[in-house]
Amino acid sequence: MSTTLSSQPAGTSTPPSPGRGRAGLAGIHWQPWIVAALLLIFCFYTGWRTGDFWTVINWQLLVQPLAEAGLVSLGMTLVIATGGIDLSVGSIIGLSAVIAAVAAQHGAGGVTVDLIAAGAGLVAGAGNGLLIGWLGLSPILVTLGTMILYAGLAVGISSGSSFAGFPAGALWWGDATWLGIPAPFLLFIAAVLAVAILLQRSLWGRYLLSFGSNPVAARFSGMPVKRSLFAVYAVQGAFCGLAAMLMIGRLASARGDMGQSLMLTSIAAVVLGGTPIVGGMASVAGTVAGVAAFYVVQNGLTLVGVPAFLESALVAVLLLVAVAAGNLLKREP
Amino acid sequence: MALRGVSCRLQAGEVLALLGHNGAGKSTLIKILAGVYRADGGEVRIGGEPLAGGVTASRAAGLAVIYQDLSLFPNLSVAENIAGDLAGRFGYSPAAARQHAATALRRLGMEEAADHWLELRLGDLPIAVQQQVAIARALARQARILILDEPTASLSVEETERLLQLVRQLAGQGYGIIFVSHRMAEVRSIADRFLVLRDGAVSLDGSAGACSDADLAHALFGEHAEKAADRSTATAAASGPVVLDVKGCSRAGEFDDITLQLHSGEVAVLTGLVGSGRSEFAQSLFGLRRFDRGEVRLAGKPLSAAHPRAALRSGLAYVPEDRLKEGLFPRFSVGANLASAILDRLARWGLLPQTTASATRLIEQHGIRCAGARAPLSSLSGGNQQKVLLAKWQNADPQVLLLDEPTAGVDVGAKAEIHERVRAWAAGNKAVLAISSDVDEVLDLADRVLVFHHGRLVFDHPRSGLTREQLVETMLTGAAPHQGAQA
Amino acid sequence: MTTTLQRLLHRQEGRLGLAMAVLLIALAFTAPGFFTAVNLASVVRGMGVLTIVSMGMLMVILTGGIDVSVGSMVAVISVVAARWGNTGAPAALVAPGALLLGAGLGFFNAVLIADLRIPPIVATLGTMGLYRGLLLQWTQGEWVTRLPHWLAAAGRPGRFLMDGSVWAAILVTALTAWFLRRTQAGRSLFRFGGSPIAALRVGIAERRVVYLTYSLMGVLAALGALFYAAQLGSVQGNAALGYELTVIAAVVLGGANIMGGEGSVTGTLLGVVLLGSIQSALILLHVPTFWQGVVTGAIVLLGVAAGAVRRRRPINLRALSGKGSAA
Repeated sequence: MSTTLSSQPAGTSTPPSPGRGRAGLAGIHWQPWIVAALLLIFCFYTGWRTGDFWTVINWQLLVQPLAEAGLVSLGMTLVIATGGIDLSVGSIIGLSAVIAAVAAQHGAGGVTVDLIAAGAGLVAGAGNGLLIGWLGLSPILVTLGTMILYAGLAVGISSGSSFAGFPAGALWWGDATWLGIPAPFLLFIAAVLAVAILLQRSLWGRYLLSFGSNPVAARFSGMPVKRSLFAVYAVQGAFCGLAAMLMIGRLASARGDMGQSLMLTSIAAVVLGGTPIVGGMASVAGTVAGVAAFYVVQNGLTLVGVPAFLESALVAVLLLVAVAAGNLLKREP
Repeated sequence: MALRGVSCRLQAGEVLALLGHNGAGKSTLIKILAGVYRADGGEVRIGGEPLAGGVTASRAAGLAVIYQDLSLFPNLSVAENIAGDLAGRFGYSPAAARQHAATALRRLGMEEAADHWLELRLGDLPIAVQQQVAIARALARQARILILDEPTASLSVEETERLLQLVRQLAGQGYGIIFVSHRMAEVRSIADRFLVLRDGAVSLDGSAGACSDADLAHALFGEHAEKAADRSTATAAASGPVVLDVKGCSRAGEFDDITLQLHSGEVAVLTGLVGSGRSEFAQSLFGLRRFDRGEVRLAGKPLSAAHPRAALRSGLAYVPEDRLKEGLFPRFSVGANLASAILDRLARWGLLPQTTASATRLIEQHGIRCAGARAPLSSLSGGNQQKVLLAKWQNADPQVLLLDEPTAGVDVGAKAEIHERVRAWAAGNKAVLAISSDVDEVLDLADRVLVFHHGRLVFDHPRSGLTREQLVETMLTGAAPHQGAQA
Repeated sequence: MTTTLQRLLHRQEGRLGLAMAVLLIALAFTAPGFFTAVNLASVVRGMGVLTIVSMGMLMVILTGGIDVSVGSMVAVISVVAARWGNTGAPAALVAPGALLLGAGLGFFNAVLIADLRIPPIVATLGTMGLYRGLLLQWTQGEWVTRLPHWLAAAGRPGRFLMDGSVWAAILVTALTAWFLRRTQAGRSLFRFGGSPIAALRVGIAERRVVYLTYSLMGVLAALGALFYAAQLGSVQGNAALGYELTVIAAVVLGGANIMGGEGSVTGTLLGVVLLGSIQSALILLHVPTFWQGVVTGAIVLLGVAAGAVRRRRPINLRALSGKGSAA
């Protein structure tokens, strides 16, 4: 049936539209494979166009920012599954990085800096969770506000400048590899497995999907809705903190406005992977395919010689085409 | 093939009752008349003129459908809802809208509304009033034929009475009315003619005088006519110890000093007019609202439901009225829905096991007709979805089950089946407190009848000996019936 | 508290008005420089562009949609107008041309949403990246530092210390208010936002509504872009980065419901005024510019929370007509 990485409550079939017994071709289980197939075609084409594409060093460089965006996208998958959204991820990354920088300034060691980055992200995300989970405010509006708030804090604390004096331990993530695979990517893979299990098989994951499917029924069924929502935004924040940690390792510096572009990229990756923006269903495989698509395509375009500025335009086109294609395919009875 | 050779006539000033099970073809017929669907064959004539297809043509010919979901704009004012598109072609004149709206409301006899309610936000008004606004809108558009689709489904007894009066009044003014309903007793009181559909064809078409109840039942059910068991003489089910003990519960503005006791093995049905406080009371028991005063004990232990989770853990479950909006997860499978109330009990170390096997068992147990535990919920009929809802909660094995309108929007046949299952479940040492505005359902289901009136519990007696008229009177006046009230 | 005051406070506009009053009083004591004619004029001039663009966003949000490509649209139009004008083309050609381009950009959004069925947030996230990327490619990161004289003139303080953006904003506000209150087309936005199904049943086609609102958004973004360029004096590919969020914040603060169907011109105007005044006040109080984000974000959150506290209680009709209370 579905891959283990695709999440709907156990024993479900592909989501049908009302009155139909069977989904269209591009139901949530198909979209990841469509994206993967397109991606593969692109890879072969690029590999044929330039010899630099299929080199170890290229892929080692490619997967690092991919892992960062991937972590944020995983968190975003969880949030979108509940029918919510988090616009503040970019700001949380920047804020976590800046706070980690402050810690480094005060002499903190490598591991401490990493933990502080993750912790700062967790706390920032918990702020979202408090307003959305406990007070029940609208996610788009709350994260709009916290996006502005956290960005202001980040730039304010850092006075708008970047910080580069990190201890060697904190930069470990930028160099470490295992069997040639960069450590950040391994962390990402571990996170993928964890989130897939959480969504597909765990109690908490079922609460999230139920809330996304029908918030009122979830509450009436006695599910701990407030707690679950609070947790999901906190976890998203932690993922952002981890992404900040990886970025510091890769760039050896921290700025208040780091990670701003990841808001668009992570939402786009999730949507590209087939997870509906309204929630109730989610596909981790889809998110992975989506993130991979964005970074591999960007990398390929750079190597082929497409001007840097056009990359974001082309990536946007990729998103629009993929979503439109998914919609068109879904309409087939 | 949704409709086959359906023919009928409607005269001005006549009320035609359209009856039939879900899927019999009623809504297809209505949609053809409304112009939403096109008929494959046959024709429709309005006032002798053939009706062209399409929504605009139907509207221009004077046909107006008042759908069950009302199709109104809750965010706009009453006036704009009624006459918004009449108040100018390109420009919009709020004054013109108010004028047209007032005229239409006055034609309905709603003087109060015409004078004071025009600027109120529609979504803030009770459903019964919104429905009247929908009718006013049809009148404002010069409709000559009104089609009312299950209009009394969400109305209380009092509101239903008012609506039926309104229908008689409109018929008297020369409008033609097609009234679709499940509830035979209601349509009896206003119908001039009956049209019964079964499996897409006409099974009865005659004037009200010529059709007896037996004829109607036969036309609806066919050979296997089952009359709902007459329970007016049934003895109360053997009841066990007190399982739910409510003392002096009050909530300002909603209900006051409610004291009652529920015994295991019994089905008590709570009824009363909308606004009498009964739904609010039930929701307070479950923790969706708070009591200001009073004490509740469940199986001897105090119940302080601050939240549905707490109530569930104590053994009290609440099945909400709107199953799709409040009770089930339409995009999940049947199996996932069945397990949704007991997830925390199923989980081991935070992980959920596969539930297909137990789900299949439940499906068999409850007679749910579906393609299996993995079938999506949305592929089931209304009646079967209701069974899933009940099964889900019975699965949670509570001591007390609160059912809010347990057969709302359910077919007549499935209704009887659900009542049977509820009684059977209660017999297993459980207690059921159901809420219903359907007088027939109250009489069919209850071992004990409880009536709320203006926030107070005015009647609390076993069902036996209680007639329909007595019950309706008690609901309307709040006074206990004179005879037959046995302790 | 009198009942009029109570009723006023029940509406978002009333609460905003109160917040403004409190803010102004606080400012009178802490930053007396705020109330000079020169400063007030500068504050008002700063709100012109935001008002124009916010009216467009109000209409989009009324229909239950959203448009986060506004910042990119403003950037594109301001650069196009500047460069085109610098080639010597007359204002009579460039200005309408810019508005037309804005309409086109907005129309493209509409096609994605109405015809390709892409959810508004996704579609406009996509065009946000697309327009910005194409713009950056075209400008190669270069600034346009010289503006055609007519454009620069529009940004200079003139009569009453106001500049063109203020007059345009007043006109746009009045037109939007008239459109939303006094035309069937405008009312159709409310109807569609309130219930798309009911709207369909009365003949309001989704495509028409979407085409209209997003194209109008584009036109207003273009108008705003012209004055934006005029006020800044120079434009570049990264102009108005993140601007959409300020615009959405203003509309939402003004009481519009993000799900659609509710909102007002007055409220949006108040939202703009509040945001603008706070920003100006922070400058006067010598608060470091970086912290402005913090304050703005906090205000937005407070506004959202305040809006959510307002609960819809069913109206008690009997009490309304004075027939006595329900139990």
